[in-house]
Amino acid sequence: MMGVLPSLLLLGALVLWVLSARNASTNVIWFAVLIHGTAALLLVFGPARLTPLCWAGTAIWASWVSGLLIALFARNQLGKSICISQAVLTLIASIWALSSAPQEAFAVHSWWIVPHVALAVLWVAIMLVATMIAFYRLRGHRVGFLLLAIGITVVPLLVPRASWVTVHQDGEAVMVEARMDDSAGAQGLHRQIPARVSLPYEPLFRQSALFALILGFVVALLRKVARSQAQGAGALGLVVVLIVGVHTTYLASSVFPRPIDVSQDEISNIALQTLKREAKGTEYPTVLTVSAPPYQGGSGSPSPITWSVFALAMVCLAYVRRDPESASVQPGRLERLEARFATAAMFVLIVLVGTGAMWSDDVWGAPLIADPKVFASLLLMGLYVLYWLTQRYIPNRVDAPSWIIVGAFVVLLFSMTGPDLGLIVPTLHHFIG
Amino acid sequence: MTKYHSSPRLTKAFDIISSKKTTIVLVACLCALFSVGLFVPQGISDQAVGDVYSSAIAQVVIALDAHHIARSWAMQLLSICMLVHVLGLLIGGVLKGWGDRQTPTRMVWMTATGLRASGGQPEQFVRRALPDWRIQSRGERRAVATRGMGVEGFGVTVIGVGLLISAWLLHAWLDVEGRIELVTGPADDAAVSAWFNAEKWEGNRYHPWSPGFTLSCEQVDGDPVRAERRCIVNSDEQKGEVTLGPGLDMSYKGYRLTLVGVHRDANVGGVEVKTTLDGQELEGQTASIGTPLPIVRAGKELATVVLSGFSSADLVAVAPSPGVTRDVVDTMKISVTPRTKLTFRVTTQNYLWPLWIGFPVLLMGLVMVLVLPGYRVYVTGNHEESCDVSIRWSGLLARPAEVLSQIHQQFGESP
Repeated sequence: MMGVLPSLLLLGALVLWVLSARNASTNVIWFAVLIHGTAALLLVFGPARLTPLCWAGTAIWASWVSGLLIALFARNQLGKSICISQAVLTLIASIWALSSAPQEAFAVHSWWIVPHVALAVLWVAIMLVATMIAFYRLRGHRVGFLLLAIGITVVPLLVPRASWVTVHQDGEAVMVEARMDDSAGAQGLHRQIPARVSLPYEPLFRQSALFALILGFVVALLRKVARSQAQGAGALGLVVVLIVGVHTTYLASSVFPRPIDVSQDEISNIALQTLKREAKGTEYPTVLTVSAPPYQGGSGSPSPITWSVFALAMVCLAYVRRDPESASVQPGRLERLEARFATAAMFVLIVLVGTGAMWSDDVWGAPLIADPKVFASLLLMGLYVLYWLTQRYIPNRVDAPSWIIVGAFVVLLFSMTGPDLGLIVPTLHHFIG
Repeated sequence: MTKYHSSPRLTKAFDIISSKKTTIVLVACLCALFSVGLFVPQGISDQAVGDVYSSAIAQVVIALDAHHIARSWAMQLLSICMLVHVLGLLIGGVLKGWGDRQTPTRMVWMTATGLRASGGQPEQFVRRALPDWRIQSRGERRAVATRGMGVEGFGVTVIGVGLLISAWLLHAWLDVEGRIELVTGPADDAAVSAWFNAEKWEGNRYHPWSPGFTLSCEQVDGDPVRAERRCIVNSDEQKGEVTLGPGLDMSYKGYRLTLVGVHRDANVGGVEVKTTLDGQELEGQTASIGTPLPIVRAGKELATVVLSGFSSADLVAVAPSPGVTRDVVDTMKISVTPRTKLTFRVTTQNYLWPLWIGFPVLLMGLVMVLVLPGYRVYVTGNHEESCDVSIRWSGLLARPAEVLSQIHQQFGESP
């Protein structure tokens, strides 16, 4: 819990972002950016040493840069309309700030790391702003957002480690020791992995949230099919938002230490499954040892919380009242600004991939290697091209480009947190935390 | 003057090849293929695919080459289609004109009406309003003024994309892609010879390969996984020696050898045991866990060593041989170094040059299209001696309001 102070500072910045959404003063936005920047610097130079070499650092710095971009372009009402989105982003950053997972970059022996990481932060920030504008444009699209929220909630159900917390004793993470043997008779490789268990009651909360989401989705779909004009959120919307909110809050509580009632066997079973997945060749884990209870839970991976906050944001956007007449910003202006950020994101991504190719050629012997993050980047480039083509050549699909931007953001989030959650194959860009 | 008419079928085929719908379909297909790389482990053998997936899924993965998606037949087919499409765009641009083929953007800033034209002609109006611009007359009632490098940028971008795709295809078809796996140790060691494995990518999988040279590597010192290694490459004609660290490659007979994997594995030839007795280092030996290893000096067996594990924390049992006193054993120093498996990527990069040319060309094209301002001002006169002015623009640095302001200043009217 080395990042408690920066996390509190980020929560302060969050309050300022919410205030700036109501207050027309640009100074409040600048103050929020200043506090966010201070927290980020504290994380780098404090005991946490959380630099952008890990996803937690990237997320915190990227959210700061996105705030800076909003401040720079927020001289009009448009910037203020996405201040709430930036506040949600700051909340996620405050959770990531509590990450105490180790960071390691094995292939750092190249100067290409400097432009590559700097551009990565810039690109993520531009993507974030583009996505926030897209969210603002698409707000009220109940079917689309609920479907997205269902997807985000279902995916972690397929991955048991989504709700894991790290088990602690006397403030230290408990380690499971294991001996790896193999069928060829060799033995003696010892492995140590952190003890992790599933958060109690979390599956129940998640399944409730999923049920509420599906119910909301079916009702929204029926209304859409019946071409009902009723736009009000109503009691159902409130219930869905509340249930998903409870699930998110419960999951977020996993970052704080608290007593947890689990047996040694449960911990050993989870460790066994992890080791079996990581075993190479004919290896298999044999003797597992772990210290006796009592345990404390806390500070697991922030990735599932990020997904859950994202799902909650989707649900809120689904039930926001969309009244074009009351909109303070002209739709055309939003569209242009979104296009500018998307264009900038595409340009920065291409340079980013270029620096990555140089780095890879330096260290891995080839400019392009079969790494999932490379495929994700190429996929994102394709999505940007589709965005550009859709906007220019399919003008009757007004919302399609914004949905493509949202899709690109999901791919970005997926490629960042996917390896940690076991959702995608192992990658050289797998920096835990 | 003779007019040539192409066949309607040919024209239709060309239109399909160079249409924007084709671009969307091809890009969407490429996106689908790239997404496969997120979920299917890449570069693994067909057998490993069978271990990872159920039988039905494994068959689909192998049939589609999804575990080698960058070199799969689907990717090559799509790359060829994309190359043909890019050529179609280029030829279409040259033959039919870039301007006419550009579909109007949705982002029309405004349509200003009521601007009085001097002389009643749109072309004269726009020449006076925008003196340094390229002006095209489209009949008596319409004129177009353009500025910027959007068209040129589009051409440069297309050339850049074409070069990148060519690099991808040429590198995949003509360059050598192989890998060598070996365990650390001297070249004449039995375990090193037994575990040496070279493979070359041919067809759609790795095949056993004789690269024409031998390779052996020994750990210099330090951490078994991250230490530097002294590697010796040897062939009938040439011998080379290099100390390899991360980020340092070997180049030998046109091949580039990059150390891409270091694995400490329980099954890669055991450990290297070094024994020091009375300050004298005995010849290094290869050992396995649990198997008695005789320590011999000058033909005489001094002791038997049994290892219980690979790490320095594991127990090492040393039993004196018959006729040898315990004092001799007590002065013996035994160091155990686990063997590591090294994986080298072996490539030739003779056909990768289009990549290094294509990337800056693409970047330059994108700067011209996406960053630098490009404008197209349409002026249409009507019968009431006024003109409709609309501006279409591209590029992050475009300032359409300033262009319109320039027109307004010329005529002293506001929109």
